[in-house]
Amino acid sequence: MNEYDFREALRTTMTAAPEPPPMDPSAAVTAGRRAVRRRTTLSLAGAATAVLVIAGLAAGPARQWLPGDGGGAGWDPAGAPSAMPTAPAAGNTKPTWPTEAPGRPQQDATARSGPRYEQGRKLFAELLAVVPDGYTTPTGTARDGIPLQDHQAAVEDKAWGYLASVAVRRQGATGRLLAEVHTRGNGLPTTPCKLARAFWGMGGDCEVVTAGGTEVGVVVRPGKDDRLDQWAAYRHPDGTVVYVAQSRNATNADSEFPPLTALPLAVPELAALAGQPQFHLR
Amino acid sequence: MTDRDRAFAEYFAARSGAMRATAYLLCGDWHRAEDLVQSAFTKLYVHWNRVVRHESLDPYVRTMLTRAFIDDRRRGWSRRERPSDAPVERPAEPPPTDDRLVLLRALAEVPPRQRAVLVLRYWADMSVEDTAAALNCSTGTVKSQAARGLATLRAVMTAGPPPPHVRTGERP
Repeated sequence: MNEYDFREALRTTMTAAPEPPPMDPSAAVTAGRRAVRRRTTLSLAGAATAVLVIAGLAAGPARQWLPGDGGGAGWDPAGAPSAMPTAPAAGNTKPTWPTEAPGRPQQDATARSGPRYEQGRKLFAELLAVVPDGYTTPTGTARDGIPLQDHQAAVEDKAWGYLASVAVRRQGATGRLLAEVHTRGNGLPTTPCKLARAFWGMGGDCEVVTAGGTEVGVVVRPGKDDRLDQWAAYRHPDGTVVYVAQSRNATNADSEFPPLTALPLAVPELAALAGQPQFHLR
Repeated sequence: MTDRDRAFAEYFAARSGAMRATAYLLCGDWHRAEDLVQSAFTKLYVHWNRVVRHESLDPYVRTMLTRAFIDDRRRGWSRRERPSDAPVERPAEPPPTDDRLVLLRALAEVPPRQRAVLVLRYWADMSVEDTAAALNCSTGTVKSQAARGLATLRAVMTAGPPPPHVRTGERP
């Protein structure tokens, strides 16, 4: 049996196999919500335990609240750190997200107001400020529905991610600059090139570039996944990770704009930007 | 229902069938295939915002599915969660034809990681590079595992299944 025979045999076998009825999407959504709730509850339990242990050490032998203790009086969900989704009330399968200004919970992982939203907006402003001379920054939306200027702050696992993108135009051709920051506790790789190649899981050919006395990983040529053309990655000593990327295309999809013939930034410039303090957001 | 729930439910309705077929080839059992699919889609739901922004959904789910299958083989699969207590309904299965039975039995004799390579490469039509990424191994390993897996299949289909005490793979 060779590869061709095996492929054909698989198709013949599966065509003949009677399938069960389709799976229920609503049950899948319920299971997903339950997983989110369990995850956030565990996260909070860990944080609460740590806080109470510290408080216990400081205040002497006071009674400590632990998950399943039954003595939960005094545990105030509103007092939980706002960075993470909060535990929902018992019986409620819908996850509760961090609180935005003015006191509303987020609808999902994306912050649409509040300090995290402001950090996303700051990243966007800083990215606009580094657009090279000679480029304009068009606004609006491309034909594929993707905005030409955008920013987002979203809670991801134990950290926050801030993303900003700006379309850049020169002589009728449009490309894009993009910055993404992951706060401490992001779990991303530590070595420069592993970090760079981990960006969106894209891989690519990486070089270590020294910029301002620090080593920055730069993917100078994308691999098979070429959603972006070049990107630099820098991990600050506190664990914050900054990616700065550039593309000849305005969007990843079906944009009506002709692409740039050359990238806006040289590799050393891209590497230097990744280490700039204005992108070091917490 | 939030935007995420709606988008997730639409994607689930569209793609869970194909993912279940992949899972069935991996594990050889529809009940367990549904458990694997549920596990993979639950991970997708948890990370929905990030995955939608940065990755293609199908490769992500296939990767989660395959890793869940391999992890199950290490741990035993009784821990898997079901979204409801209702048993999976399915039509009375007709006796499999000889060819179908032979292939499924032979596939079950292939060690799990080799089986995963075969299913991803030749059923899901994933490239060597994507298969390597899904299994967190090198492209060279994918090529060698595919060759070994096909060799095992050839041997089993030529000779018939060995008695249980000398089987190299795990029964689904």
